[in-house]
This record gives sequence, structure tokens and C-alpha cells, in this order.
Amino acid sequence: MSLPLPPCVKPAESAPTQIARGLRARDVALLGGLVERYQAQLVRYLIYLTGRREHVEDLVQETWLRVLERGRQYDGRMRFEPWLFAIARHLALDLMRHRRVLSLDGAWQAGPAGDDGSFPASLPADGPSPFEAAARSEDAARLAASLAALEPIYREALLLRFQEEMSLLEIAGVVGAPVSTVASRIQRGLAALRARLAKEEDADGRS
Amino acid sequence: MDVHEEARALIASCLAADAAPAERLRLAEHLAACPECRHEMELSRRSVRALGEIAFAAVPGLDGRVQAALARRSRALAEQGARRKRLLGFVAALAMTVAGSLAVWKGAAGLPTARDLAPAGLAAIVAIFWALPSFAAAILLLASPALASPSGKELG
Repeated sequence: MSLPLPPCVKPAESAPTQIARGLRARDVALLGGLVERYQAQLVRYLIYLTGRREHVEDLVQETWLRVLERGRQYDGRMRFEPWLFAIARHLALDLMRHRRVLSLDGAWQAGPAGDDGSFPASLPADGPSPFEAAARSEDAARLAASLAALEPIYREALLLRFQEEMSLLEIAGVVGAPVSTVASRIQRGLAALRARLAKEEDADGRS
Repeated sequence: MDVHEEARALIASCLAADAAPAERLRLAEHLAACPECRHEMELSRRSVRALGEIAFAAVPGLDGRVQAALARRSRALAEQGARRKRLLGFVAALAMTVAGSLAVWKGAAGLPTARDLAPAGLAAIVAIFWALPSFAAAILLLASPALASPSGKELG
């Protein structure tokens, strides 16, 4: 049987609640802590989304500024990461659509951001893919090219599920799509990577 | 969908922790009997593991630049908020002064000593001895450091 707490003892505040309270107060010391804690994840997510490193710094900075300005919208009922990534995604989507419109001289038709779950392809390549440079194992090196060629929505789903360890429901919240769509993206993304490994194995076997 | 296609779909669901216990059991039974799908399962596991072996180098100095940008924006937002608060306070002080002065003027007009005064004279007296001092007091209050300084904590 649990004893009731004395009136002077408050139950411990959860991390999302503390973050929500700090963001409501625009506590930049708390924001500084969040930057240190989530920066690497944010950078990785944005690289997976855009397929490039060039714009990541600007996007990261703009994401944190949005967090500062719109922090009052975070209510602490969900984890902070999905909310943060949803902001970053929105900015990346805007950038990619804008860049594509510019690069195609207006021929590319863009709809309202995120309204139909569509996502532009990776930004045009002007150098080696960032995935190749970041591969730390033989299998990772094998998959790097495949990752670069994969559509961003599949890369994103794989990253959020297997690296960020978000639930399908959380991913659905980030990408603004139903859970069934998220599951399908994970399945198709995994199939593409698996096929790449199988192809490489076959090539190794023949040589 | 044949059994192998279904198994491949289930492989992704199982790895993503999205499969029901019955589906997991069905997949396990199929994998026990099908070397091809077992190989697919192994390739899938390696793919997931390999994703974790792609590690991007940190952007040098990015944390510091972001924190500096946050501190600048925070100051700007705090100043913007303080300006808005001062403006609202000014409008409120003006409205209260006008309303208060009208009330005092009406009250003073009913006093026996004010009956001999012309309306313009009474208005001037109310303006000099009530409206202007109360408005000045409101402005001084608004300009006090407690109200004028932007709230919010700053980065070090």
C-alpha cells in the first residue's frame, strides 16, 4: 500500500514537463542545455532529410530559434524530440521546395508544406554524399550509396525508428502521416537497403 | 501475396516492433523452415545495424553559434515584449486619466463652491489639479525600472 505524500512534497516533474515550463518562460539557459543534448541528433536528422550537409547549419540554427519563439506551443505531453524534429522537418521542407523552385526556374510545382505527406527528392548533388563520408563499417559503406539514392521519406522513417527509437505513433506525429503509412515507409526503406546488401554479396561472391 | 512476400513484410514489422505476437510467431515458424527468408532476415538485421554505423562528424563551433544566436534573439524578444507592455501601459494610463478626470469634473460641478465658476474655469482646474498630475504619475510609474526592464533570463 502506498503512503500519501506529505503536502510539502511535490511529485517529481517529468523531463518534458520541465522542458515545457522552461520554454514557456523562454529560459535560454534551459535552451542551451537542449542544444547541447539534441544538436547531434538534429544534425543527423537534417542530413537524412535533405541528403546534403550544405544547408544543415542554417537549418539547425533556424530550428532552435523557432523553438525559442514558439516554445509556448510545446505542452510537455509528448517527448521533446518529436516536437523538435517536426519543426526541423517543416523548415527543411520549405528550404527544399524553395531551392527546387529556384533551381528549376519555377517549373517545379509545390503544394502547401506537408499537406499531402509528399516530400521533394534530395537536393541536387554537387559533391559526394554525406553518408559515404560518415560510414564507419564495411556494411555501412555498402549502404551509403543506397541511402543517398533512397527517397528522403524512407530514409527519414528508417532513421526515426531505428536510430532515434521513436514509436510509430511519434514518427507519424513528426511526418504528419498515418501510422500505416509510416510502417509502409519503414518496410520499403528496409527492403531497399536489404536489396543493396544482397546485391553487394552477390558481387563479392562472383569476384 | 505469397508466404515469402508476407514473411518479408513481417520482417520489417518485427524489426520495427510493430508486429503482433501472433505475427511474430507466424514469422518464426516460417523462418525455421525457409532458408531464403532467414537470409532476408539476416540482411535486414545487418542493414539496421549498419544504419547505426553511419556517424556524422560534428559541425565545428555550431553549438556556440546557435547559443549566441539564441541569446541575441532572446534579448530582442524581451525588448519587443517590454515595448509592447509600455505601449499598453501608456494607453491604459491615458484611458484611466480621461475617465477619472471626467468623473472628477462631474463630481466637482455639483459642489456648492463650483457653482460660481464658469464651465471652462472648472475644466481648467480639473485639468491642472487632477488630469495632469494623475497622467504624470501614471507615466512615471510606467517608466519605473520594475516595469521598463525586459524580463527573461539571459545566456551567460
